[in-house]
Amino acid sequence: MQGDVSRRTFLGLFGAAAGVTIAPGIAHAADAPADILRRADDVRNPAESYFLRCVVKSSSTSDDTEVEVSIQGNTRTLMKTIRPSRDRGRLGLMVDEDMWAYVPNLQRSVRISLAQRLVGQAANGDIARCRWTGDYTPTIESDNAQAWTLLLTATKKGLTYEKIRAWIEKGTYHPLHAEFLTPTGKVLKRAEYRAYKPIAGKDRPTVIHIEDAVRQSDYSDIQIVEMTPRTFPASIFYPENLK
Amino acid sequence: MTLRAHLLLGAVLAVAVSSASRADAVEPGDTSFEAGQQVSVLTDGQVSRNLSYATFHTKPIVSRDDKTGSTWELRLGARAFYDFETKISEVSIRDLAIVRRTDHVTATVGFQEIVWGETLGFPVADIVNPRDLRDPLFLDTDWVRLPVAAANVQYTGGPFRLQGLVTPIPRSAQLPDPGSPFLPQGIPVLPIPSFSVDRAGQDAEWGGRAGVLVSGWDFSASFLAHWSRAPVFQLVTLPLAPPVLEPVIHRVSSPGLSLTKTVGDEVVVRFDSVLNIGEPQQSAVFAPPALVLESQNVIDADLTSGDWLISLQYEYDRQGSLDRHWLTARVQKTFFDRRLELDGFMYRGLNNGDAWLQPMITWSFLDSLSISARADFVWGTPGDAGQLGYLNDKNRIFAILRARL
Repeated sequence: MQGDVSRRTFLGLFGAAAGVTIAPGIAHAADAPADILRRADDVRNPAESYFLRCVVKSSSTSDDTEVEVSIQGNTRTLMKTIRPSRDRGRLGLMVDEDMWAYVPNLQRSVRISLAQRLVGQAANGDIARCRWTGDYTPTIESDNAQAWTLLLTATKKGLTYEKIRAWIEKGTYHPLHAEFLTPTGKVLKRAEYRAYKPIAGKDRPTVIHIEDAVRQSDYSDIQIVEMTPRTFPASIFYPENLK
Repeated sequence: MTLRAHLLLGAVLAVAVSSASRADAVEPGDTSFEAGQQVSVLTDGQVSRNLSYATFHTKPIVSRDDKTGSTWELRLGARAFYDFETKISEVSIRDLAIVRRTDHVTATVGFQEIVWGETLGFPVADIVNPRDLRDPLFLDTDWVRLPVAAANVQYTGGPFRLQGLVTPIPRSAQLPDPGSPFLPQGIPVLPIPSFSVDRAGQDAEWGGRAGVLVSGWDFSASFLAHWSRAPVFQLVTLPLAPPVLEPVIHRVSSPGLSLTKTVGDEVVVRFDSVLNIGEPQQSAVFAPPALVLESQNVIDADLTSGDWLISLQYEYDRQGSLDRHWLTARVQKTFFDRRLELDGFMYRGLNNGDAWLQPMITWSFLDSLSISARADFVWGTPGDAGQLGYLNDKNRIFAILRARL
């Protein structure tokens, strides 16, 4: 046992030393997979707590869906449907891996699954869960002059996707595109992070295009219209308070 | 409601409007308007409902503290309808409340709906608000749940939440109007007892709930001291007058337990159990009711996959020494990006003659316009342990045209 610890310590020291002596030209310490992911998350999320308004356009319907989203960290999100009119007043609440929906016709909140679709190819989780850090363990799959390719593996059950392959631009840490995968690695959907514009203080993607991996004509565009850092009372993120 | 109750509500509104006028209306809030027509025709040709209605709701945030996020909100809502068949018109307040939200506390004072329990369809734990029972086959909760004037305080912190509430002047359920096909025929029915402002506090309903969410298990335990929600009837004979049926309500104490759990990505399991201590029991011969212990238990599993929703529910009730079992199934499928919805609902008594079949189709032909048509086929055995005996063969077609803006 003692030998085991000594060996691990030795390997750890060796690894650290190798990182310092051999790696400088290949990978900076800040470019460890977890750091790349955190910086990419910072591109998509302006603060720990913020307000988001987006319009979802889907190939399967002529009606746009407009949603207001209140996000607190990666574990609490409240989504409110503004249009179409028939869905106005619907609320979606995400707490950790659990989701509830408030349905005006029932005048009550009911539990739903995270994978339940919002509209077209966009799942609730695509909007409600904008941070990958904490939900996924990243590894660098490949690396070229322009971008890292990260393979993200879910650290918990109940997430919308079990695995994600994400391309992150070097230098800017902009997410470029992503593939959403099954546990066996089959591609379910593809996403592109488009239309980088200054919003909430820095360049961020203002359109997320998500398409079915097989039927590419089935797609949804999540267009971010407003993004503002904002504080919310914690009490709004409880199913009893949905109304 | 009495004039004084309206005056009390008017005072709450005045305080609310006063608060709003002093504060900057930082957010206009969600406003919705709905208008429509509901028509119900029984198979014997009798029209049981033909009403035009309009509802309005708004909930502006009148004050927000940008540092803490705490808010003052108003909730205002009303509904008006006119029934062309019964010539009855009604304007009712659906929401009239002030809400104070801080980081961990939400306090709501005024006219409101308070939802308890987790199961859908027959929500046995949803007992805080009385029900509009004028049409016993029309269970849409946004229509039949009657708001109450209450103070409702909730504390939320981490996985825990606590709630306390009091309704100083309770409200009775609403019974079918005279002449309704849903009343016992041939015997007049007296009005249900109402609660007076003079006895504010003495007749009060009060209770609370505590809940915790751990590893996806959402538990809550509740208690409510209240008046029985489902009135029972006793025969009253007065000298020189024909006999009449008198609705009877009684004080009831109701402890309850609820839970939900998601299983995998697509299944949600819900459970509600409530004990009603001192529940009046309907006598088959309309004798004065006995007060009994009633246990109501519902377990429900919903499977959502793509555009399908399949729901199965089992309910077990024990009232005194009377056992009752029911099974409910619901299948729903949407088409054309939820513009068309087909819905089938089946309710069957396992040790009684109850059966209820309800196919429904809803078509949203415009963004804000939809039409629903459904049929109700009802069977019951008068006098058995079931609940639908008095509705046996009250089959009907029900259509709703709805515009939401």
